[in-house]
Amino acid sequence: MNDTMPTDDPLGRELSLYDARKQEWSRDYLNQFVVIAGNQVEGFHPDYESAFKAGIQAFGLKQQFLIKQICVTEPVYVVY
Amino acid sequence: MDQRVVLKTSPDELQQQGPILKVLIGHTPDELEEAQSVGFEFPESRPFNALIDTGAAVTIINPQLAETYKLRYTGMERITAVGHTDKYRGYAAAISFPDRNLRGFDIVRIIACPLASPVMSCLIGRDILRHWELIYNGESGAVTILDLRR
Repeated sequence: MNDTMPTDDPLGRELSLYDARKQEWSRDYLNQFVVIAGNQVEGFHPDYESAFKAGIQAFGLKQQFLIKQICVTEPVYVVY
Repeated sequence: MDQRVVLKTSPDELQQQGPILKVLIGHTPDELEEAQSVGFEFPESRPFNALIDTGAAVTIINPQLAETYKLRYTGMERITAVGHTDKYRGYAAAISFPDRNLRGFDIVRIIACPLASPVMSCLIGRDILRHWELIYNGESGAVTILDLRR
């Protein structure tokens, strides 16, 4: 399973920012999708689709960005 | 428009393999438009088999395909499969159905998670199925898909 779980996540910086702000964002943006590139927070969106569109518009093809749904408990998706 | 598509096979094959259809997974229209404006070309994608899987909460593809087609990574997601939970990469993609008159999806988050089957490389999960009505007729070997989006 190591090939699917890289130790060096290219979005590690963005994830750290998310973790640091998660509690604060949970109050106002619960279940919305935040878009983060580097230290820049693009905004909050109602769904993954609109978050992705906004990310591409703001950061283009070359800059990576994280799309993360703001949840109190991280979702686990089950595949039976 | 009523988009009703029938996947027809034999009852035995339907029982053995489940409902399978060809999918094309590629870049979203926004990425293609952006790529065109800067003269960038993505690898051309080819159709492969996908299983309609009501047991999958999200849509899954083999990690090799996500890498080959250079899909855009947007963050890790937790998946429980075969009783084991791990983090897997999530990618933004467009999904279309090349040999069916079935409406595609412009932006879908798909998860790259290894699949054991040699006959298919994708599970169409309930994130897509929430937009469809499915009728599974095991006796005739037919599965009917109706796209419910307006």
